[in-house]
Amino acid sequence: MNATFMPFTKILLTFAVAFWAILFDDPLYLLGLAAFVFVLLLTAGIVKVQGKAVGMLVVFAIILGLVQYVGGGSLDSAYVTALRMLCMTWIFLLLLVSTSLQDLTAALVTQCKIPYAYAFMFTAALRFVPDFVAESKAVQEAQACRGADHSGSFLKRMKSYLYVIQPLLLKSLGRSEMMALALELRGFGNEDHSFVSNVTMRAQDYVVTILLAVITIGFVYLVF
Amino acid sequence: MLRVSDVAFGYVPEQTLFKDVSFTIESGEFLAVGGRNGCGKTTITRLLVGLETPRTGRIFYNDTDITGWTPAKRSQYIGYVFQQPDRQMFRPTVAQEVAFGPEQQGYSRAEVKEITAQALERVRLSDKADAYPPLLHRGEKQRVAIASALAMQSEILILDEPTSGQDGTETKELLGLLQSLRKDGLAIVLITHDMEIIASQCSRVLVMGNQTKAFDGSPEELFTKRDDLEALGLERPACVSLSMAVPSLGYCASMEEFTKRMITYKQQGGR
Amino acid sequence: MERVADISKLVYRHKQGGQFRWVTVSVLLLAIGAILHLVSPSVAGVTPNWVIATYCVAIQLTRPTYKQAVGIGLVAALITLMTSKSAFPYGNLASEPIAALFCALLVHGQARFAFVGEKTLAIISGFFTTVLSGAIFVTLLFFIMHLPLTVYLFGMWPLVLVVALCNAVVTPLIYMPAHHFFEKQGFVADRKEEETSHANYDLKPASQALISVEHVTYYYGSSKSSAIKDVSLVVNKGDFLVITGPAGCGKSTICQAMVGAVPQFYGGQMQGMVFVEGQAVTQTTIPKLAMHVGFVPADYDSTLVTMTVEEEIAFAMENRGYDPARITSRIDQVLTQVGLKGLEKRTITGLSGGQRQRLAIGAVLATNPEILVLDEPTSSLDPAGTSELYELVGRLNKEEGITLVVVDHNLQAVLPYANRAILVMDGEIVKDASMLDTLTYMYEERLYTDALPSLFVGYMQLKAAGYAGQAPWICVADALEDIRGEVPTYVKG
Repeated sequence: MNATFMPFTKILLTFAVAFWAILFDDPLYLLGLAAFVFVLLLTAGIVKVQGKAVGMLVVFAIILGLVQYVGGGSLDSAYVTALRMLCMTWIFLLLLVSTSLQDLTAALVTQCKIPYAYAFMFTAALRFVPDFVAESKAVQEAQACRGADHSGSFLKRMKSYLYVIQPLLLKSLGRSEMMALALELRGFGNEDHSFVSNVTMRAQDYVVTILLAVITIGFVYLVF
Repeated sequence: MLRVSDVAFGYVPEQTLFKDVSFTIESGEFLAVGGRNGCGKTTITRLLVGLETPRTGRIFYNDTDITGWTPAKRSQYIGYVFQQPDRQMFRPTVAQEVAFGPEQQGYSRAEVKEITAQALERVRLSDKADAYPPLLHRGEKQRVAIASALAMQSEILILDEPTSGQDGTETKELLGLLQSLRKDGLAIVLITHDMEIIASQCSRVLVMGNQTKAFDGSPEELFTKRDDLEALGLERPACVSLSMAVPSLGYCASMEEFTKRMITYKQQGGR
Repeated sequence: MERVADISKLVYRHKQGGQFRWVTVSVLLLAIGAILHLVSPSVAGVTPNWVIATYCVAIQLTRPTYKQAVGIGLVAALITLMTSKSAFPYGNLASEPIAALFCALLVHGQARFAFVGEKTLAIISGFFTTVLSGAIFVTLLFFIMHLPLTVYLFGMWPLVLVVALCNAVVTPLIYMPAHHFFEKQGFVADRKEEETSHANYDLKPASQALISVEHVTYYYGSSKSSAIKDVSLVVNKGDFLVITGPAGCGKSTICQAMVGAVPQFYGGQMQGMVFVEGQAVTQTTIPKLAMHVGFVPADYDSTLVTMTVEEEIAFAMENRGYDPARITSRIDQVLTQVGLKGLEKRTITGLSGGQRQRLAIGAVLATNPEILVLDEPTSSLDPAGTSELYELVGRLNKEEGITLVVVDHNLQAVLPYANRAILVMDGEIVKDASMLDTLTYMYEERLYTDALPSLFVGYMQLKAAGYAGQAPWICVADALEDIRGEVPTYVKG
């Protein structure tokens, strides 16, 4: 899947499926759509590697269906809510898992026309997440060695949680200045940006795009 | 004072980092912990403060078994200064920063104030009590971290590579401070890669290697008797190598000692 | 074009802070927000929305434009999607950009309501931004999922309000220490200062060297005392120059001046001029200078901004619009140069400290600078890592002809590689000579002697007493040879 279609095609597919899910009001149609998305997940190998996430979304959809039913909706409307949720979140999972971050960034900038600075911020923030997780663990340890106890009631835990946040905060703000300088030194913000990732659409991408458009028009015609 | 008995440890079940490790730490000792990267020298000190739990074996403090104690509870006996001292700092003044520990221990406001003032006095930072910690120099931050550990009123002070990144002057000041704390009866445990510091400052060396305690004895014995220094990730300091090249000179713990003796030796040899 | 008679009198003033503070502060705070989200304590599933809290703080701290604020919101939405597996991704994509824009409106509106202090603003923005974001999210969910009205009104809305209340508490708790830190560091966002332009001067260096620093005196920000005073030096092609001196002597400032960060990034006032390949630093930009001078700061970790090793090397080249094929081949060359070949796909988080540093050096080498400036490169390395690093940069200098400027206080490690050493004391250059001459000068004048390699001191003392040979001891082998050569003659005599 990763090699077969370009990220932009997958973004289009995601929004097309989401649109179809909103379009359909019949549980049977939605069931068909969910089956279709599941087959996509299966062929992309995502059911295998991200089975837990796929399952969690099912649980979540069921809960939402129950909320609908308990809140006074009919059984049919509960099915619609649950299945619609399932289609919309599954297809998003497909997009996120089957696309490398590098390719996604390139597609967001070159094809979705999102300014590069924002795409960069997104990947850079994700780069720091594991570092900060390690950092917060180190802070907790340092504080434990100074007698801090990270257990107790909600308020107590919240308070000691803030003790951990603050050194993390100060350290990262201290970093921000050097990072800003490093960005300037490395030519960040230049108009002329290139990407190593090649995300140019190929023949099969255009075929899928046209197919998506035709199907969407067909569905709209069918429903109204 | 602190006794480690037959401790084994590994981060993952399939792997043993070290086993059969036993040693004691007495007050007034200046103990170096050395060894190759990844041999467990930091890990063994993490076991002492309770950041890790041994797979087997026990740890005693004055014959009380503290193996199951949390780091917070052990902090009254053992202080730990981490490698990057600014990691833990988060309060608006140095005094408040140092006060964090005693506050957690439940001392009254007046007591906390006194303990803090004493700790700052001991590291000679009283004049910086109201300073904003992030703006301090590297050496001063290090001393704030030491004061924070002293404020726990602990009797053992463990420092993880405190001289890394510090320049000659800062290192000299730090070592002077540690020696004075040791004279006051504290036990100092220093994790270090610096062979010159081990030779010139420490009363004892513990080397981790070969998945166990590879050496426990005086720096002199380590640097003159062991022929597996390189395998243990250690190196003979220059002063020891040079003193060994002149057999009648005897063991020299520092370059200063070497040059002094060498000059005397030569003068006598000249006569 | 105006000619300048006395370059030491030429003054340049610049505002403090670069153009990307809003980017880096937002990135780092949002990363923190993402983590807090994962591990926050909660009661019955209710917990503050940390991502919203952190972008509110970022917006209030850096006061970005409205367009930038929308961007920050978009980034926040994308991060939420990636890290917490948002239950309903489409909702976040709409709610966060709009809420972030609203937050920016509040922050910029503060100017009109002088009575609203920083803390009050943090409470207000924390609460209302969260309400707006939550409202958009649940309303979208309500319409798209056709949820019952009772669930929407009595289930979802109270939840939104409770979370907003939590955020009204935590936002100022994060914001206030951050604001305090910014104030103490002198990073106040909206300070108006006059800036100098040198566009009309005809500036020519006195020396044709690669870098020529001429009579530079520099004051940081609003500081009254100078960080460096009348500093002049040249860096010649092929040099391996070490700059040393006690902590706070201004050695780092000198190297920041060589890359244009002083004065163009750190602001303040500079007298005199730095020329890089004949170009005055005040007449060009930091990115242009960086094509000639590569800079790796002591805190090299902060310069690494991508996920994987190869992306990091590609970063500067992509920013400058290099052709993809050229980038790919250059990645290969650079990784070989710095000894990281084979680790292309590794994440940066998975690298050791020494590897990260070599990556930072490689990332700078990617655009082929002639000069490499390293600020305290060994400060976080152990002895083995230190000698590896100097072996690497020594090779770059000898084999690749890259000119090196290194700030370090570990003189023993750099001794075998450097051809020149400069000693800086209290902002002034007191010695600029060959490595051994500078060491000898430090020893004889008793200047910063704590930094002298112990072997060198031993040699000097024995030599003074008449018991050492003519060649100074660079390493233990030299000393042993000297001693072994001498002792027998003594025993005989």
